[in-house]
Amino acid sequence: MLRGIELTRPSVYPRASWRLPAACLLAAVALAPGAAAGARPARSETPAAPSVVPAALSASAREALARARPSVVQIKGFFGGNSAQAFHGTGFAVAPGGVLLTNYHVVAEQVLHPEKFRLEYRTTEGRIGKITVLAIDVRHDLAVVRADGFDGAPLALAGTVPAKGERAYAIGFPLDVGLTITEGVSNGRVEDSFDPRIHYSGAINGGMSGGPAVNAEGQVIGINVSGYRFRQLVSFLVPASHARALIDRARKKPLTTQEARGEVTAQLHAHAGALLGALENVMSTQNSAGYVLPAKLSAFVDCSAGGDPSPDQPMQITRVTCAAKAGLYVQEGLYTGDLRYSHFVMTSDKLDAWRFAYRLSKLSQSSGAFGSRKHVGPFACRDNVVKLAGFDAALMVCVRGYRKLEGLYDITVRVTSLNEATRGFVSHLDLYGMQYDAGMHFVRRYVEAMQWKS
Amino acid sequence: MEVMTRVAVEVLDSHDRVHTRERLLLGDGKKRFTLGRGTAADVMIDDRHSAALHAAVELGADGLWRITDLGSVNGVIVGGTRILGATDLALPGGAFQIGRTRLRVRGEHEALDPERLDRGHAGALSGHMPAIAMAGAIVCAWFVGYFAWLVAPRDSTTMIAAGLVSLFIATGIWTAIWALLTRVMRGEARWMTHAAIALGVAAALIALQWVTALGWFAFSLPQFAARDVLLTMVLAAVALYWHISTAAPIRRRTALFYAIAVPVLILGTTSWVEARKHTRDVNFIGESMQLFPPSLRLRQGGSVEGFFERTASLKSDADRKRKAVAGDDTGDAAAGEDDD
Repeated sequence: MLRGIELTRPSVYPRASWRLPAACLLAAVALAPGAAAGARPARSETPAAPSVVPAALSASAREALARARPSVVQIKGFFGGNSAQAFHGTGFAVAPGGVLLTNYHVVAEQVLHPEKFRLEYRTTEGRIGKITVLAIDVRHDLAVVRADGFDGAPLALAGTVPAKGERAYAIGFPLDVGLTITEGVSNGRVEDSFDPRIHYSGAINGGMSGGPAVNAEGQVIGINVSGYRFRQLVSFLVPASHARALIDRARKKPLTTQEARGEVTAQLHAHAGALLGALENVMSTQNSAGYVLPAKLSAFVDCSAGGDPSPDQPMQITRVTCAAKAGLYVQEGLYTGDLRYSHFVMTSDKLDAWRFAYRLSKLSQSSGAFGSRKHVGPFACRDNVVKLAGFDAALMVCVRGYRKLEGLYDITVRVTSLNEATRGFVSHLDLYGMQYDAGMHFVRRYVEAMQWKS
Repeated sequence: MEVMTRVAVEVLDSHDRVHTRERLLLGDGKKRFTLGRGTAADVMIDDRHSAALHAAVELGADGLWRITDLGSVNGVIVGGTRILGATDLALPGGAFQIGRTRLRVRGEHEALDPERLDRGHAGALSGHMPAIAMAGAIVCAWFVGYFAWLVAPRDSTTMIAAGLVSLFIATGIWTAIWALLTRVMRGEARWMTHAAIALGVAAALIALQWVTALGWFAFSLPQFAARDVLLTMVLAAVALYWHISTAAPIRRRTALFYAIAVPVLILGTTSWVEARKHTRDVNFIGESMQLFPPSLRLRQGGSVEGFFERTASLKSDADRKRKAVAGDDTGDAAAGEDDD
């Protein structure tokens, strides 16, 4: 389901994230005119005058925008001393004294690399000022910042998540074309998602990140956070309820780099714990060609299964792929705190044992981990043949540590069955950004859940 | 009674091998002969840098050959030095040069080295080179067929044809290089021996790698990254030793030195570079086991318990690797702030 999802903070360089199939994403970034425009708005375009509300919008949208306008600012990030922006998003007042709410991913670069990036706000009237970050919530992708010299009226946060079908409006600065409101419908809380999200059926584009999504009464129901690329109006909001706790815990003084790093690491630890905790007492399985393998472990785990139906293939392969879709954006090029696994179950009535074994080993050699040297170290591995429930399997477990997120590890597991002549499976399990012991505990449960039932 | 003295005058080539040889019989107790371009000389030299009567060589009472210049323009070269107007100059080893011609004079009382054992054709294998070459070729061809069959149903005919042609060309070029070297060093090509070495060792290497992979699978052994490199190194050393000692009259110890040093240097360096690349590649997880039919397994899998006990040190291994990469990552260190 998360294929093609994208955070709504455009940056001047296209981002490749390991949440997405790399080739597919790169192709999409390179080919899509929309993506290119998002990254670099054409200079020749006539800037939309922010004060003109298109007549096509309903009266309530006009009202909602008029109410929100004084409270909403554009947040711009700059690399070094450059006057051209590196990225941009939106923020809105939630407390007096210029206290704004935005997305963590809008301010992440500056928080982690304050010597390289600086943040500025720009009001709809064109006033400019400095921004400092007061508190961050990586888990929910929120940040509380202070805009020096800004005193827009705080917007009220709605107490409840709107029901499916209620009118909603998203406000922000998409693709740097000026203050914009889009009209849509709330579809309530996203079902079966580990990240708490509101599904907003309306346009959210890059640059609207951190902007408010309001109901007809002008109360903030959520914060614009992400949307699907090349899909139609499937967008997401962070429920406003998660903002309240962060606003309460935001202090008056800015977050130091040291504190920010500590916060990020601690929150990722908490997230990893919560993710594996949610899977602690479940290990649902499914029988595929005699092999009982971990299936959809929880409602939020997204699984798909498929295969080539044509009978003239030398082998029949069933491919099951599951992902927790729980990954968090930490900084450019670094998503972590996720879990995914896949099984390739192969059977053949055309191949002999030798040629079948050859294909099985080819399949087990494929790599599945993605990571950058900037963020992780190399893998350390152990492999051996182990006796699982009713069959023997080659088991390989590899671990690598994060360089700047102390105590977090990626764990990659390969299981290859070794019991049948023309029947077998390869299973890949990849854990990203987990605590070592909890991660290994899960790996063991995963491996021990496998069974052979002839 | 007439006293005859037997003398051999040899013209040497640039490798100090005899190019032509002339025998002289010096009668009447004479121990002296002359060399030159003209017919008056006892030994005629076809060299434009020589005088008609260039020099005289005489066997002294001490058994040493001595040379006397008979008034030539270029003189004689002895021990690498040109000497003009030499008289009774001793010739160590009997070697000297007139004009551009290298010569050696040998008398009948010279001490000869004992007869050397011919290692090139020694041993039980010497008569079986064609058989070894043929067997090697058959084994190599069999493996070409086996691998083509393994990946079938792709186009086996093309794969087998391509495999056999490249085997033929590679062996041909390799054998030709060694045969050429042998021709230069020994004066004979020894084609069949080199072909037998190339094909025999190649076959042994492929077969051994396959058998070890099979053994690893059968006994469920953990992967050992350097296995194939070590195997290749050993067999490359065997092949090289055999090739070298066939190609050149070289001492056993020297041949052994080259046979070990060259593979260790080349394979060692390349695999070291490869391994180092892998240790710095954060997405590299190592090779998986090569699989064979499960019926060939001879040892049962270990317990899951035991496996996870052995993973206890994985965390510290990962931390060590992470720090090692961070340590030599100068680009990142220059950026500074991050490694606090």
